[in-house]
Amino acid sequence: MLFQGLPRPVLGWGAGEGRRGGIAGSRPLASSARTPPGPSSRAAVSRRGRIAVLSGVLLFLGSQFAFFPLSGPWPPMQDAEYGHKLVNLRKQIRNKPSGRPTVVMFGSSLTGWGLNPAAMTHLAPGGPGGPVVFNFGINSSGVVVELVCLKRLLAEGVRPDLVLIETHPWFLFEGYNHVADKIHFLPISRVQPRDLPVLVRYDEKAGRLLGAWAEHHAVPWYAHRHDLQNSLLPKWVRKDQRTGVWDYTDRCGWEGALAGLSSPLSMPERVASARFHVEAMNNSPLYPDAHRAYREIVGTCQRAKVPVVFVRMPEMRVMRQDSPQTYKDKIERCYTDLYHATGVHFVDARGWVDDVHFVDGFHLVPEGSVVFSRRLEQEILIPFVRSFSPPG
Amino acid sequence: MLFHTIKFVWFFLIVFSAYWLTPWRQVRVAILLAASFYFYASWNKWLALIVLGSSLTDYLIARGLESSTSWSWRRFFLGVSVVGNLGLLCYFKYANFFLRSLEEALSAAGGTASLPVLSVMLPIGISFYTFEAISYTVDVYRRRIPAERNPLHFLLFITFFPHLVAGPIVRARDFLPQIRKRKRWNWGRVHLGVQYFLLGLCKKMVIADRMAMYSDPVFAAPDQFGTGAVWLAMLAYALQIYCDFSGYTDMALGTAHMLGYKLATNFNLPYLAANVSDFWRRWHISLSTWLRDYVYIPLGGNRNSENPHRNNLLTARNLLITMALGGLWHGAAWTFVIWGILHGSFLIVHRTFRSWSERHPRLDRALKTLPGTLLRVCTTFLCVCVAWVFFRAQTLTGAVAFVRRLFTWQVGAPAELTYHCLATLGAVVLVAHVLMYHGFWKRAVDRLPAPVLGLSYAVLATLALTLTPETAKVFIYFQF
Repeated sequence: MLFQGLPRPVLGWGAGEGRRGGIAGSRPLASSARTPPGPSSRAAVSRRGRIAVLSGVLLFLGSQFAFFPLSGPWPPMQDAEYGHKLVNLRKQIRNKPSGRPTVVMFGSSLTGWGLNPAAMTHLAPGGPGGPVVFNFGINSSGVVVELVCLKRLLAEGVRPDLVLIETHPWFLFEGYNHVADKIHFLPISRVQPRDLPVLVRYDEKAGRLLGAWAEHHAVPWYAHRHDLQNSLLPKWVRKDQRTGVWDYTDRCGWEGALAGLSSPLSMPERVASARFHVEAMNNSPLYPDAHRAYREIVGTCQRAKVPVVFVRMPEMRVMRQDSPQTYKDKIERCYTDLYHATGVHFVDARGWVDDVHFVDGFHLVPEGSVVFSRRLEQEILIPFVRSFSPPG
Repeated sequence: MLFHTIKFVWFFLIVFSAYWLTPWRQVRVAILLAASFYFYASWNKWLALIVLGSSLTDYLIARGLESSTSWSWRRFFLGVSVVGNLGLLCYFKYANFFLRSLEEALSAAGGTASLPVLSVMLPIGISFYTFEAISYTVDVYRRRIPAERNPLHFLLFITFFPHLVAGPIVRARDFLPQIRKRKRWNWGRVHLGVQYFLLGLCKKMVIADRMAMYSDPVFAAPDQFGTGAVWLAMLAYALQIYCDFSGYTDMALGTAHMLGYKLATNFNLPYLAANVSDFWRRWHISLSTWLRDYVYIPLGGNRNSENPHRNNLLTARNLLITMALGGLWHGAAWTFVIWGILHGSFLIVHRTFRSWSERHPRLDRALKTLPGTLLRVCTTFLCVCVAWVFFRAQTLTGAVAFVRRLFTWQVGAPAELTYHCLATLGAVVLVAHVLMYHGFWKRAVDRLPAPVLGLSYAVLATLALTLTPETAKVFIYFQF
């Protein structure tokens, strides 16, 4: 019966449950009355407690500090998307015969979905004498993230022989570079300690950035749990919260499977989307740090003796032809200034791909990525490989 | 401020340090009191004033009760306290429920009424602290405990932050003497508190919040899911609510131990219960003992009449009333009442079955063997799980739809997460239950070298932090 013989609440002394009697009406499964041997005196209990608690606290703090050194050999621990790309790039470089150049293209999802090295006709991976072409596009990123990724890569000891830098008009405008909880499109959970010196230079409130980073990374195992779970236990994560971009990425970094999953908008919707963004950019002030970030990218490459080329990514015709003159002037002035300041050439790929090969006005469908990649191969990569001589 | 957040860790470290660095007992009480009000006010500072006002009223009433020798005055004081506390609870928690139910009843009877909807915010923990206050004044009225003279001590009894918002429901006779007792720093006690806290942290962060990802979408729209997904969601919710509530209780016990206080044990491996009566000796023990002492026994308990038939009927009535009120205590919805009535019915069935099986010794013996016990444990677990559907469902219609999908084969969307996750965490809970039942935890703590224990705590804490889902959830019992 429910309340008959119900014991008074017991004031527990001993962690957990399960020390009070067995299953009702059954023979005990084990003798719970047996007292285990253990420390009996108060002093011994106290000493054990002190050692266990203090060592536990120290080891816990140690495990937090150890996160960053531990994550060194396995980069996805700190930033899954970047880390998985780095692992693949290293594999490609390790497997390439000596004397072949390495070409890395940095950018956003436009690059991620757009550059498909496997589709190249002469320089496809595995072909004789061709370069390792790797797509280092990071989804939802901007020019500052391109800079951060370049610096990370050089710090990792990966030195490309040619760097291609994606440029797109929305990198140039203020409204496209400040998102509420992100720093230039890089969520704070993915910011690594070595990124901070770069990011503080591009944040008006550097103190706030450092504070937010310190708060977020005070317990790094907690801060990086999403990436860790996504990488190690993807089936434990709900489908809508899974960010396994790498599951859709090929060995050269192309996110074609992801592009293939998206159903393209209808042509009027693509045009409307492109017009909407042109309008938004036209109404937004210019982002002055974009110019600085591009210059820093060029400076970094020059210090590392790596040639660099800017690539103006494919756009729908409506963005080139129907957009307001003020918008066009702003962009051309920015790129002209950048050319004069750095001397770096621009490859104008805006008109390379037909309007039918866009998903949404900006991103390319897999067929579009083939067109773009083959043209890039012809225009940039084949001349580069012909003139390439291995260092030393 | 939730126990498993960084904010609480900082808050607790400050309180813990200030508390133990202060040598004066009364100052320590004041520190805990200030911390408790800050803790409560972090949700809503105005609602903290309600706790303060109602506690001071109960303090004065108890003093009046103690000093009065007239029975009529004593009854009056008791009535004021009980009506005041229940009135507070009814106004904040049940007013809209009663008004809505009245409106629905009138419309069902053919009438029309448009009753007002009160715009009130539910003060967090109100169900817990009003029950604590009622038990205190009733115990003073029954002269089982003296009225507390120090108002600060009484306020701390009601507002002590580890138990303030979701229990366990503490009794004055257990807690007030602890406030008066001089506290000395004790590493063994702190060690115990850390163990409790870590255990609770793992239950909440690793299991409960993960299970919520299974159960939430299915309970939100049971019609869209197939029978398999609905069964998984029910099992996931059984794990979720156990790990959520017992995890909270473990953390409450742990923080209290670290401050030198013992709170009542609230759980004792409930899913190993071999019948529903046993379940209620193991689940939310502080509430079931409260209901026993202040509702069931005053109603007559199980000793109502010399006539066995009449006694059985009256006992059944008392069980149903007690459990329905217990259900209503959880929330202002008919789903909770049905949940309580279901448990009351299970208790009556068990009581009847037990007296029947006692007259059949072979069956009785068979049920007490290991396979018989396993069968009883599984049956009890199934009954409890089905009852959880009513506890969790947003509406009665949703609960019925859910139960229909449980017991008739329906095709629909599969479960959101993989079976692998549910099976792994379910196995962890099962193994932990069995190990604790055998006293393994205690033996391990006693036998393992202290540095190894420390290492296991660090690993457990790191695992809990790493495996917790991206979106943290509030404790389920905070809404009660």
